[in-house]
Amino acid sequence: MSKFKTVQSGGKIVSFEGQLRLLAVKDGWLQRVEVRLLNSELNRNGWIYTNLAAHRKLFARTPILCAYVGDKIADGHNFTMRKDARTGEEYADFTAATAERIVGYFAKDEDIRLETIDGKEWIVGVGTIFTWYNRQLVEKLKERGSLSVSIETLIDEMHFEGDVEVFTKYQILGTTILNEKVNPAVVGANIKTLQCNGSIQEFTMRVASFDEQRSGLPKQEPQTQNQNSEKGEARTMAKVRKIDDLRSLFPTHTVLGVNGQSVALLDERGHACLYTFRDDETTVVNEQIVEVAANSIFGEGDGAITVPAELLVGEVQARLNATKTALDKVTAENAELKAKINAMAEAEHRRRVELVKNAIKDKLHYMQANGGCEIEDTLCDDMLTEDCLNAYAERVDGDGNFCGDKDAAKEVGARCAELICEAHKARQNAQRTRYAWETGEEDNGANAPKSGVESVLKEYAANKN
Amino acid sequence: MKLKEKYNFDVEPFKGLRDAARAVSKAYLDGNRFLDAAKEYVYIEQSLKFCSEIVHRQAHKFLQLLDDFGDMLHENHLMQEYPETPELNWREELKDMDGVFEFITRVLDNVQEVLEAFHGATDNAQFRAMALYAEELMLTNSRDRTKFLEMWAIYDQLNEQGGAGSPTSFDGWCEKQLEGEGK
Repeated sequence: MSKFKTVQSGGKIVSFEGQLRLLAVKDGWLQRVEVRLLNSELNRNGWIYTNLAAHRKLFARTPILCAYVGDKIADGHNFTMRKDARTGEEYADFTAATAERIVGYFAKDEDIRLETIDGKEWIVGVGTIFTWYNRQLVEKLKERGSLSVSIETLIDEMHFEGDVEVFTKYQILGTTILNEKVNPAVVGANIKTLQCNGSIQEFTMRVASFDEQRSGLPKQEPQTQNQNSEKGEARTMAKVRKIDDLRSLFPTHTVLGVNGQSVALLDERGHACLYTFRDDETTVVNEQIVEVAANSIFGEGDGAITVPAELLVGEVQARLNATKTALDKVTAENAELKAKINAMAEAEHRRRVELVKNAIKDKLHYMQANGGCEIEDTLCDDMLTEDCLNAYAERVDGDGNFCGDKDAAKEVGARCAELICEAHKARQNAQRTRYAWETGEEDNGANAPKSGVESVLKEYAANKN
Repeated sequence: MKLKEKYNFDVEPFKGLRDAARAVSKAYLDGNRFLDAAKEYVYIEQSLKFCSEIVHRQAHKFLQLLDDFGDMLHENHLMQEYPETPELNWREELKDMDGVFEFITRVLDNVQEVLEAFHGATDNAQFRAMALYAEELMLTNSRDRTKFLEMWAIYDQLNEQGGAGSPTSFDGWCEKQLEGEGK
């Protein structure tokens, strides 16, 4: 128990199977019973309850319950999970005629003890059943000597050790008597998770069997968690199906939920459908998807209104279908227009490439004819490559108008102008007056001047002498 | 063998540390939530603004210590697990200021207790570093506990002096303590 006073919150509720047997009558209307309640062995569901000693006294002042369905005594866990209309909180409702009812109780701490039985440590309790109100049950107990029970616990703290769930702190809710035919089914059977209105709390009801744990006998009748006062279906663990994995198997349906081998679907018209897999079946036989009636209930009691799912989602689905059709049409038109635009863009591109190519050639010919110097035909070959032509074809000016041909012509003109300038310079150099000192005179002597000026000075000095 | 196959709480030798490590994490998480609730009581019900701030800081400190403890686990590639925390029934636990201090020291005692258990589980050659780190956390916890015992003593002293002391005087003293820490 916590050292601090805390507000109890809903944890995980699980059940554990024990065994109940008769003791001597306490007085005329009280039948004493002894119940093997809980042990700390690993059970077939992969759970271990620990700290038995610390939890022993928690059984005191808890109820013993039993369900009557017609002539059937001790039908198992019978109750209905309901949701509070105002708060959305889920709770267990025991008001139905066939719901399990309180038939007795464990009175005080001293009635609960720890005992080693067959080498296992058990919590064993001595409880009382009200005979006046439960005559048939007591007679049945007398007839059979013992019956299994299911201990319902609220798990506060647990952890995993590998695949084993180890419960370290739990509360005791009650002890339900089971009839002789109610044995749990396979390991992991009757597991149901209920979510509380989007909260993170998960309530998990689980049932195991002490009888089966101890004896390893084959199952008889699968025990069910009769949350709707109807016998449920024993689920096998043949294949765990996840909703995300199923979506691709139902391309024309919306997968709403999955429970074991059954899958809830919504078709394109908004009709509820059901598909049931066979064992490990991995493909879907479309013909076996069947329409089912699915209703939503608004309100509670006499004022409740039942609305078929088709009505609930039909109009929305119709709008969705119409929108989808319109979207498909627009998408097709869009694709057609896009193809046309692409064709036009390609034609325009080809036209611009031709313009650029012609502009380069025309400009080059013009410059060759009028430049006054020799200009090679290959001067602008690099501008006629595909990459270069494509680049010029993409050029536009500040107003978005194509200007690649003009730019290309300018480039040709610039290149030619450079050649023309060099040729002109060469011609001017050839025509310019040349002075003696610019050319220098040959003097192979040791004192030969190194430049034209030196040569003049040398000549002047010679004349002066 | 993969790293995580060897270093996790599901296999020996770490298997035996899981419950002790979870208990430490839970004590810090509970401490955080409980002292936050106590802070509300001190501020709203007792109108001791600065005292509530000291309680609030301790609540936050628990989270820092929780992370420190997690970092220590990470040194062995062990995952820190986060157990759920219950809601404090403050009406039952906190009825006056003496009750607040008594409650806070109990929370700190609880931390000490789980650290001691963790230390016991790790006090061997294999886990020596973890044991030493647990000792450091115990020393920190002890200092925090001393602080609240001192506050409790001052509170009682001021109130026992009749007119000379009052909750307001005590809150003024708390304000000075905060100034010392950097308000």
